[in-house]
Amino acid sequence: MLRIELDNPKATCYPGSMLTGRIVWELSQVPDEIVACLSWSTEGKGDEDSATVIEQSWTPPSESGTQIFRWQLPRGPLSLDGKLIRIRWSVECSAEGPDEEVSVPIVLSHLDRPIILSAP
Amino acid sequence: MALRKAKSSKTWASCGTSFFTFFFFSIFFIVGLGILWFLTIAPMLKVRRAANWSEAVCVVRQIGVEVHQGDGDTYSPEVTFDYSFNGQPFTSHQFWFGTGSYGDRSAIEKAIAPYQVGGEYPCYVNPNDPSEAVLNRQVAAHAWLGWLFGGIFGGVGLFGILAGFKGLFGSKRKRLSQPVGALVNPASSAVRPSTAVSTNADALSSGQPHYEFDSSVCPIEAEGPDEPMVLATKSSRLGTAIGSWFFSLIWNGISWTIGYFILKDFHWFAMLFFGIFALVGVATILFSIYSTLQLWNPQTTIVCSQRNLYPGSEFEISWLHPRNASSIAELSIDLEGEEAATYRQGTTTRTDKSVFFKQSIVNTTEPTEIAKSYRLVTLPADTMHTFQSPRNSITWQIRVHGKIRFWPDIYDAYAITVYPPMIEGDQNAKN
Repeated sequence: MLRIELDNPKATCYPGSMLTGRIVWELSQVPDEIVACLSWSTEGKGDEDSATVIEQSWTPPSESGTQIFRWQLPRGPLSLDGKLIRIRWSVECSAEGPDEEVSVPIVLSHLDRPIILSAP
Repeated sequence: MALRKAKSSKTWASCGTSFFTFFFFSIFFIVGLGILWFLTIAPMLKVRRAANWSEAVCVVRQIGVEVHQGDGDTYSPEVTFDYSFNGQPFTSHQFWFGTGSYGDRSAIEKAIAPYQVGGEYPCYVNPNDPSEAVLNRQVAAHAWLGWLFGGIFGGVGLFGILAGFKGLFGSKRKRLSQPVGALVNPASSAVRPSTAVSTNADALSSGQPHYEFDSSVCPIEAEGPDEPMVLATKSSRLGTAIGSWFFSLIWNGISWTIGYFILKDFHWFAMLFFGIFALVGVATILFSIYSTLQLWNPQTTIVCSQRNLYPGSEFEISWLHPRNASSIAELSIDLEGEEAATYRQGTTTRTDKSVFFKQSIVNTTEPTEIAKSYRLVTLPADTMHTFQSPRNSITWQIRVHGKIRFWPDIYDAYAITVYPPMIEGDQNAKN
């Protein structure tokens, strides 16, 4: 079992703020490496673009454990709901060895929601 | 590790497209150079070399036009002449310098007209290799085709190679990572990373977060004071005019060269097919003329009162027409936000655009206001900042449309950058 626990339950984050939480793992074997990252990707009409903005990796000493993370979020790109483009943010984590992956979406916006674009 | 693989495969996909473009157009370029070499350059070099050849008297044993049968017959001179050099007899079949055959029979007949079977004429013998001699020390009549076809193929190839080269190497320059310090607004000192921040590879293995931020995707304010700035047009009129003439030349060059052979062997279906290409060619010429005439239009200078614009910013847009403002009958200036998404459909790449914000800054017929004035503009607080990823973008621009009587109108766009909202204080995640 691999789990991402965010301290902010609503997962709506202000640009530039701190995103804090922990990665919890209880696996069948000791993983070679665990990688947690913060990424954005586009959805919609265009082909997908994506980028990993923050990445943190470590070699766990045992099958189970917890790793706290504290990341400063970037100012952008903001989460977006456009007519052609959507931008989604997520915290992702993968364990190498048992090959497990988990992902939690977040919203990066100065509003309480993604930016919504509509025709004028 | 799945996360890293996903990221790198995207990079390879992008590189693959650029490499394919580079490779595909390299073929055009090589073919173009080959045509230019064999049809034109090599014969011209031979002519130059033959200037020092020895003159001898030859007897033309046979001369005529050789027909090369195909979809459209082509022709070349067919000659046999005997000559002697240093007491040795030789025979040559070389009429002039050049390879291949030519579609214009009359040009070949005109070239061979001065020569009669049994007649004695001067020929030119290579003193280093007396078996090589030429009757007419000139390039073939069709050597100019090398410039045309070689130029078209080579030009298209070079254009594609440069585009592919830009895709392979140009984008890397734009995608340089910025240190995390650039993530926070220079104006705000409230937010600073509390964890040790590292941008080097060691951070990954040490369990520390590794930050990577691409300023070409999401803009970051430049250092220095926030001062008024003169906006630059997104595309220059001269560039548009040159580009349209270049495209028109290539399109019409290829179309009409093919059309020449189609017109020779008149066929209804082929004529209809060619007609479509010819019409597009005429349209490209008309557009080129239109964009050339636009070069003489009044140039609009747009000044934005501040360099750093954010969602919710209020700023001033002023405009000035230093010359010929009186020729503009009506001026309209709009602020516009646009989404653009690029996608592959089969073998073609398409880009869809959608305007999500449009606000009229001015629409006037008043001459003094057309010449010089300003307006206050406010960006919506809940809108999106400028965003530019390889296949998706959000852009903001000032569009200027000036109506001119009996002349092409002014259509200019000036890019502005809207930055992500400033960080106001140390706000952690909401709630």
